[in-house]
Amino acid sequence: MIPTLAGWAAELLPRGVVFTHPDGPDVARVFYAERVRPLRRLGPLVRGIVATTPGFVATAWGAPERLVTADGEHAAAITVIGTQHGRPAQRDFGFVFGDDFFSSIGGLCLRPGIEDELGAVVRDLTRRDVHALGVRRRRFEYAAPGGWQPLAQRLAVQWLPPGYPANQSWLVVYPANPIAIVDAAATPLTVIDNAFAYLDEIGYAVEAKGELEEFVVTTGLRGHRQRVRARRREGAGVLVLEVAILCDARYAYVVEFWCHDPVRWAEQHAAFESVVASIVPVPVPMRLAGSGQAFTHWMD
Amino acid sequence: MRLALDWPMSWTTRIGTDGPVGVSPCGKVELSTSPLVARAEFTPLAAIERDAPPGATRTYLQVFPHATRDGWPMKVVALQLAGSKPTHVELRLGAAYEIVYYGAVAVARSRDLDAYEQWRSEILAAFTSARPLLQPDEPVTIAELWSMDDA
Repeated sequence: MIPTLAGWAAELLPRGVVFTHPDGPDVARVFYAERVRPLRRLGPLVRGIVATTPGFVATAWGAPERLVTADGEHAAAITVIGTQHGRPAQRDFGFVFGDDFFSSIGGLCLRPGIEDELGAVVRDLTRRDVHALGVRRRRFEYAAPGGWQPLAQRLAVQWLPPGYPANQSWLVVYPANPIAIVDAAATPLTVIDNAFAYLDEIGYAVEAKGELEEFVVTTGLRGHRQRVRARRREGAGVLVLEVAILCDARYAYVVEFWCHDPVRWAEQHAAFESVVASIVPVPVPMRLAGSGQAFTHWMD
Repeated sequence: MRLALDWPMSWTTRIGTDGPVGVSPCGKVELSTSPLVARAEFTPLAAIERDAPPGATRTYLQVFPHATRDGWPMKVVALQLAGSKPTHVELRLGAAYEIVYYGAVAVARSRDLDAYEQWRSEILAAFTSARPLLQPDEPVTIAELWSMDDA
């Protein structure tokens, strides 16, 4: 939900709203669509809208810009220059990314000289787009391990190395879990012990347990990590499992590394290390100046 | 999400309705792959028999278990489709893969027995080179959100 643009006319559409500049539609308009599915990357989203806009021909594409909304959601902005029915035109897009949906804010500027102003309006609306999703299980940012393949499992991702399944290793990156739903008093130990206890359920006996280590990553998150070596109770098979958990005031971030081939441990452990080191905390909501504007177009 | 294959040497590729299609130098054998589909919704034999001529008689000549170089299990299926006239025979060599909770097939087709026999071992080698491309259209990491790439 975005705030009303003062002085602009608002017209509700089936899936959103269009605002028209006080001097009319030949000057500028802003379109808003909320909770659109499926979620896609920025490039396909922008190209999809541009390709289906009657009369608009793109001639230059700006660079993607990263934004964070007042809500603490990830967002993007991008400028596309072109013509609208032959007239010079600039389009500025903002997107807010939910877990499995997005909202889009699309500005169309037809009056030369106010392009920058409209671009700023779109970016401001994007930052103020409120979804009130709150603290929840959600994906967090990290650098994907190069050359590994993602097996998406809802919000979690299992990363498979080259040569899998002959190469029986994998990483699991869980969604960030609100601290409130894990044992806040003993979060690291509880999460790590639960992971190790699961080995027993799947037929492994722990042979050796490493030290519980504390560490800090470059983004400032602090965490703990621990490793166990386990052997299958029946038949052959050795497994090394390392669990890392990092926490901030709101979330716990957990990554596991499973390796059934100790010979490959060092090589593949580097991928685990790089993923853990790259974890970025979930953005913190902030209060923007001018917050609390009326959302009157939603009340008609 | 789909399968990637190492096409037999000297083959060319063209874009088919479901993705790339490998074509033998003589043009008489074609090899294609299916998207990865949830196994609960996937019938491998139906995928291998897909687009069979209406009324064709299906004869399974051979079915045997195998595995890709990376260890993904697959079943190789040799199928003959016979039409109403003796000259209307199509030979298919298919591989049905089980990849975690997805299924997929690769299918080679030919109406020329000599060409089929000539390329059969190369087709089998291509089958064993198969590996999944698991990146879906939806972004799976936050970092992808700002990407201008399709996938």
